[in-house]
Amino acid sequence: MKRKFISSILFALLFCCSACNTTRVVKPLEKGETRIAVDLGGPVVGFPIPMSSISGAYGISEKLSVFGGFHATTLAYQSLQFDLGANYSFLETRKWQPGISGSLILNPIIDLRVGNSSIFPETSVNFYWQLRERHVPFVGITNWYDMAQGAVELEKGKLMHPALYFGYNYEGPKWIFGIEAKWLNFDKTLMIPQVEHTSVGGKGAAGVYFKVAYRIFKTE
Amino acid sequence: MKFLIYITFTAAVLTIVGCKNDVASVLLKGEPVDYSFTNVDLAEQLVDEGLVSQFSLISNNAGSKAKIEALYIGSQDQIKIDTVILYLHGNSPNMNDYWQLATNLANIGGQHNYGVMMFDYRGFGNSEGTSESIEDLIADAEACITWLKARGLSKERLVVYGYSLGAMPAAHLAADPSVLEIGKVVLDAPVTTSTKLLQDATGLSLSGSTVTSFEYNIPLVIEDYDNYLLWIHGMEDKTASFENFKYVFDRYDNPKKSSAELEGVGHSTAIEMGFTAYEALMLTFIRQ
Repeated sequence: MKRKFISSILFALLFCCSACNTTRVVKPLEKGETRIAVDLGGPVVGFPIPMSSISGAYGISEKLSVFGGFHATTLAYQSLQFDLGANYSFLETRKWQPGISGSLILNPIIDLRVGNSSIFPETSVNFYWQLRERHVPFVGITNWYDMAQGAVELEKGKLMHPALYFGYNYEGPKWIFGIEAKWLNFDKTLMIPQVEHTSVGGKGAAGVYFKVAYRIFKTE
Repeated sequence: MKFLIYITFTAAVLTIVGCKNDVASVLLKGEPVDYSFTNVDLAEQLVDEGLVSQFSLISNNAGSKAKIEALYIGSQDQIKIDTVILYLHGNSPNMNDYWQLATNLANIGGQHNYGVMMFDYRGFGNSEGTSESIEDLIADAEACITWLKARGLSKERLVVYGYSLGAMPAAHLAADPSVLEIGKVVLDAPVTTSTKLLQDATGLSLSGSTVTSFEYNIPLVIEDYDNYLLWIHGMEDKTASFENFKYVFDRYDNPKKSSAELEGVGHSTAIEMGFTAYEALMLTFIRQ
């Protein structure tokens, strides 16, 4: 039983190279706002795997935020994975009309064993609402682009690696608490030896993620 | 804020402490067990318990020695004339889980028709040491072949059978034998490469070394093997992809290759296809 549990965690790590954290920025930060966050969660293999990452974000303007994250669990397996991105607000939310924001992200992964490195560009679009100031439900779609798809063995590479997600953030004056569900690689059948992962209709992998963030505002 | 700092600090400490982790180091690890190889543990294909012997061998991988536990089903005196199947088991904790399968092999074509040898890789069952590389698994199999050769086994009577995890060392061993040339090899529910394992999980062009230093490459090594090869695979296998190995097998240029591609069968091929069909398949292969 213990062996199966450990196997589940280890193999879940294999998924987690792609989109394995909450959405870093759904709604743009306020200008001058800094946010530090810790993410926990991952694919569901009977329970959500507690993968972890640490991130920061900064509001450059009311429309533009930049962010970066570091994946602690991946490093524990001798691979350095982080993400750097920018989020832009296209449309602000008004009553029931969703706000729309988009992100451009780079996801480098460096294998510390032999020094192989990969970088995966990512784009995402978020639709969010702000209800009673503090409640921010959202949905979105993100996509990783594998520019080296030809390097996938047995000619099975693909350019697009999409994920759908929905979630909820409670945005207090100092703290943000979030929960998010993701459907990773929903267009593919993923095979993880010895692990029964939760999928939808046999496609992709379902994940659950939690976020705690602390907000710091510049004092004039 | 203190809470966040605490969480961040804890994550950093865990990362540093665990930064030597490797997916393979835990997965390639069995569990100690009280071995039980009796007819009581069998549902079918009973054996003469007097012809079952369990013993230890010393395996040596370039100076890294380990005492491994092995099992022989059949008369050791007959090794010099019998056909012997060396069974390299899958990624279960120990040999107990394969006792029924081993006796099935021994009784193909009649009770104790073939000698069967099975062993626990280092770190599995009561075998000492740890399995950290494909070379460790190969060395353990070679220790068994050395033991068999010392009792009179020759190339034409040796069949190496690798199931799932065991297909990795079986293929490597067949392609580059150091103790005894291998004339017949069975790859049952094999995977392909360590990199493909990661790529199947993520869909991304990542190298297997992203999560493990345990490297194997069956498609590459079998190019160097030109004797008889039987590939058995269930089309519904959710552990080792049928499509992946089908791709490899179709491009494998060897006139002595054959396959059993099993509809409606998952990873436990030999059990799921039933003994009668399995017996017929193995007899055809071994007797060619």
